[in-house]
Amino acid sequence: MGSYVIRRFLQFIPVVILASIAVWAIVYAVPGSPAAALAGENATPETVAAIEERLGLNRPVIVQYFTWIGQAIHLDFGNSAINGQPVMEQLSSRIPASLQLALFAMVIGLVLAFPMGVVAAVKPRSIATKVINLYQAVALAVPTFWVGILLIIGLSVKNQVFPAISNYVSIWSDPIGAIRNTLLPALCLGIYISGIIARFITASLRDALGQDYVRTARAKGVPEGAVISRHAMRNAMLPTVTIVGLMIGEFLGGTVVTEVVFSYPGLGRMIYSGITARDYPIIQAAVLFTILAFLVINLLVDVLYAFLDPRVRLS
Amino acid sequence: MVTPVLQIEDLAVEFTTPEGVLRAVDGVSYSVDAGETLAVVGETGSGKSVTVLAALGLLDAGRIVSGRVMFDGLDLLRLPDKKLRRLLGSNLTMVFQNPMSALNPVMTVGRQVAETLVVHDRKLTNKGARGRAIELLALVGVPQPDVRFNQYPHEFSGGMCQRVVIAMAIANNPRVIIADEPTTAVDVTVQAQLLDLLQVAREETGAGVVLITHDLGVVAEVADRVAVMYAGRVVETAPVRNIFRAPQHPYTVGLLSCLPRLDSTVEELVPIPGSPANLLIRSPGCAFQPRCGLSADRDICTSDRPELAAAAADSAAAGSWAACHFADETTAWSAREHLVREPS
Repeated sequence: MGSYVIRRFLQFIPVVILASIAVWAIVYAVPGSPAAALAGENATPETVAAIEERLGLNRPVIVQYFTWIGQAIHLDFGNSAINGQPVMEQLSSRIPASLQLALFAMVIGLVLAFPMGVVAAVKPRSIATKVINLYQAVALAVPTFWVGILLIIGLSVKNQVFPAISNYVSIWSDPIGAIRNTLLPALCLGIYISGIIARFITASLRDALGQDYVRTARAKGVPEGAVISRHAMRNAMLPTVTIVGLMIGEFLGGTVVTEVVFSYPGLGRMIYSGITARDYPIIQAAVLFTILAFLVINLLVDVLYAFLDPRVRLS
Repeated sequence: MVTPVLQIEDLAVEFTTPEGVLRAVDGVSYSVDAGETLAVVGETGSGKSVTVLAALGLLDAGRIVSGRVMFDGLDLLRLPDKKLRRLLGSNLTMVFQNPMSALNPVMTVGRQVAETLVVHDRKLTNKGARGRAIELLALVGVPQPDVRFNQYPHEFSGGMCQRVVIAMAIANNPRVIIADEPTTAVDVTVQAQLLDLLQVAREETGAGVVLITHDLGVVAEVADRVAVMYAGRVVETAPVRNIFRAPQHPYTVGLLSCLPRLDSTVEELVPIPGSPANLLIRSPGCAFQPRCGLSADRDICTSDRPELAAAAADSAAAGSWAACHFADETTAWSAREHLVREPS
């Protein structure tokens, strides 16, 4: 098990190197020089040259990359091209906000999805399953921003239960304030993912229930509840863990639309404003963090996989 | 007269398919006595497995149309789920065809055996169940059972998995063991060991064994009695000796004539002409008629369905029952056609 984790961890390194090159190259992805873009349309060549000098854009490409990566390793992503503040400062305030939103959303998603997924798998022809299928279709089809706007109108504007603009309040310092501020955007995302996760649970649980070992368990006289929870569910968890992991990874990179709708100060909104202002250091840092978060989540999923499925440990 | 320990009476099972209603089991009756091995033979799709799965309430799809399954004075088909569950795994146990997939891949082998014990004995402690499970693993010939207890099914060979399944089947001293093609998925060399193990299990527990197989070699080796199934019906039931010496149903004759034998001089193996019956079409007559060499297009074969009837008490087939209008002609016909070879 230990060597498995180490092996998986070593596979990280080439991915991270490639990702860092791609992220750094964002600067060059835009037509024209980034300095010209920053300086604006009416800038003089002297101004552009000054910006190039300040950002180090006039040095050889390879030098630029190693300078950037050398600083990035020390968690120094330079200063914002717009307001001159250290990027890391902004990033370190946004990451916990996004993390909290992601975990809230995932808890809501799982709490909604699990009972629905199990009922739909165990009683495929029941009325409850028809209702669940309808809910899933709606949850998947309705855009999250629209749900967000409805929630704001219903619970913030008309009833004033929740604030219309969500601030980041840490769950550790003020749990009630955190719930008040994070619940609406989390609900918005949670409803959306509950539809997807429930479908995964239904499909994989239904598949597991049709397997020979489930029939063996029934033939042993195991009560139906234990057949589902002890025998089928653990096997059905494997594909579900994968999708849940991927979604947490995605959320950690920020949920742009939801964060913008609720004015939530997460990574998504930081990337959004970074892109509109062409603030390259901000975009580079945020995207690199997103990639790293995704890789770490993937590793965790694989470790969890090995824990759930003994067959993985050998291969 | 021994009373049968398990008795299936007139069982019928239907499946609804896009092409129509398919009757996979069509009025099957057979019984097994304590300490006896009944072999149920027939080709794929003849309803052998569906019959037992329906009898034990383990059918996923399909609908039981009629019948009774009597065990201990109880009709299993009309028993509440909870009561049936108490019998399954304790009094009535099953050994499945595919041992690798019959065991849960994410649960240790030992826990799966122990679970069988704990489910039926709430007072059993974890430690007690573990000890008993290790004993059972040793009994069925799993080497180093205390080490193997903590391993997963993928660390076992197919034959070893089947030993584990058999251990679960005998764990609670069953009165009926139903083995559904237990040796089909394993190596030939392991087959004999597993059959021996089933015989030992039968002797240890005194259970009646229903052995479902399409392998007549297996039948000859372990069965006391045989029920031959074709198109969802029992077409012949007889003591094992009669099946090989004096088969009464033309289908049984057909099965034997495509079986290679070492104890007689063989000209060639004779396949049964035609293909297995289409269960979607229910003819009023005998389902085997289109493939039957004995029928010779006699009207009664297509108009009337033959019921099981006893062979004459003074014939070589005394004790056999066959569902054929012309069962009394079968012996002469098969000799004429050289279909059944007497041991030389």
